Amino acid sequence: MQKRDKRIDDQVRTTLEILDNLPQLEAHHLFRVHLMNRIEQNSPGMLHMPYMAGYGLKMALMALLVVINIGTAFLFMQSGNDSAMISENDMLERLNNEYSSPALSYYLDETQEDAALE
Amino acid sequence: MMHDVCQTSLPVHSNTVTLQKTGQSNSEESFSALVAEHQNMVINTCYRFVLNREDAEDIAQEVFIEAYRSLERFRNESKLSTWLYRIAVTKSLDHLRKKKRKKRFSSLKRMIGQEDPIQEIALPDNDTPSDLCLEQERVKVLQNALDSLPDNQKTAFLLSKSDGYSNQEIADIMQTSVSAIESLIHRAKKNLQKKLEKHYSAAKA
Repeated sequence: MQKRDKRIDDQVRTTLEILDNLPQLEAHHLFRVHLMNRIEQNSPGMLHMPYMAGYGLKMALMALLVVINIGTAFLFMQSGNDSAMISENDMLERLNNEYSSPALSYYLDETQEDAALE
Repeated sequence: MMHDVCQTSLPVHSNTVTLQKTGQSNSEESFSALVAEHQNMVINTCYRFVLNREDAEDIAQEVFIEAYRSLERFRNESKLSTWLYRIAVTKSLDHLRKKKRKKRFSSLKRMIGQEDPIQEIALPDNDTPSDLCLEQERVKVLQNALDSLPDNQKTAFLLSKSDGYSNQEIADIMQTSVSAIESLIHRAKKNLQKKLEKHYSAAKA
């Protein structure tokens, strides 16, 4: 029994010694090259981030100004189109009102009848 | 023309490295120097957890990628080395968790009849195939025993087994006190001893 326990103890000790005897690894000589490639591949431009960070605010402001300008121009054009459309519609409506009265329809109908008789 | 100068002071181990981010090349050089200084320690830390060189190098790469991404958020609350090793520990534990899940899935696959080759652990060269087999078996037993430990016990114990970490440094990495670390290491040793004894006594029976 004691012998068996001793054997188990030896096994346990040998197993735990694996951690003490693990070799000290040296990084592969291309470790850093691979790392930089991976950084570049994972998100192109990530390496440029610190450099770009200083310009970030300026770029954002410029983009905002451009958007505001384009938006204003678009709104201006849109409002111009609307007023043109309104005046066109008004004119058509006015013409319609003037020439669709019952008196005018009588003359129109009569003219059509005369033409048919002839 | 004026340059925007973004100066970041990074305390690295005993010395202090100042990163002057005046341009892309400078920041790349500084990061490269940082990697050169810590790569071996990070790889060896990961190796203690995963017991496989290739996996350790892969995880170390992820550690530095993560560090590069969040370097802007580093606030000098701890040493840069401590911060890096903390990322290394987190990534290693994540890797072990993923591996455990994969193992469970592959055993499920085997149960339904689909073979899935389990990734073998890379071991140091041995003289004979029987030695290799025995060593491989021992590593598996050790890994299983380590896997059964709670994460904090496992981390404290494995870092204590790594060269170059004092209990104070382990406490800094794990953001706890030295006495808590001592207690965790003690409990981890006790639990491992119990697990391994149980395994070997069952194997003998």
